[in-house]
Amino acid sequence: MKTKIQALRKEHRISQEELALAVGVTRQTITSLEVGKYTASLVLAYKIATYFGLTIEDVFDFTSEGE
Amino acid sequence: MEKFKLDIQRRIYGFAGLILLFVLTYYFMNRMYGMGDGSDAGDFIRGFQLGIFAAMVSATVVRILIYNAALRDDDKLRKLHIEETDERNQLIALKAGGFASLVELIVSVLATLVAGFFSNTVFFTLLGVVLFIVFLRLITKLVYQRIL
Repeated sequence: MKTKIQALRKEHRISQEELALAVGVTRQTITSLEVGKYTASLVLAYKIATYFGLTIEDVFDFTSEGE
Repeated sequence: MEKFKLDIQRRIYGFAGLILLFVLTYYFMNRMYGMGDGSDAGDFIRGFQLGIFAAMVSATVVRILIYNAALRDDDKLRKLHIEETDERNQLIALKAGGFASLVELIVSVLATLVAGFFSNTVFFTLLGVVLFIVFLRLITKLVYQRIL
């Protein structure tokens, strides 16, 4: 699943490690999310979206999932 | 985080008890079966037993040291908590564990069949292990079906 996490991180000038610590996951999980290898659970998606002050749909791209 | 701290403390006590169990088991098994001229085990088996024992004790001691360090430092405690509860790590453990467990069972069954041609002792030991694995898989499946 595609996400805007990397772009949002750069916009807010935070590292993967800082984001990982803030949402309670490892840095490797953030890396996997950014490259689209791993799909976050609803809880994690909500935590990340809330961290950036956005909705889940703003951060995660669901359009490709339906195909 | 307080609940996790308590959990870590309990694990430390548990591991300390485990080390004591390893040491006592090794000592008494050696006293009953290992020492003197009556022992059947060769040098390789003796060495292997000692190696396994040392590895288990060392791994347990390392775990206790990691947990102790985490209890003294809140940052380390939080990092440990994240490592254990990270959803991706849990998924990896689940998938890898499930596949590996199935392969282990199949190989154990094959080994049991082959052993039957050569040694009764090995056959029945492996059969006991296979039956235990099957029983454990069944029980854990039933338990998780109930609680989830």
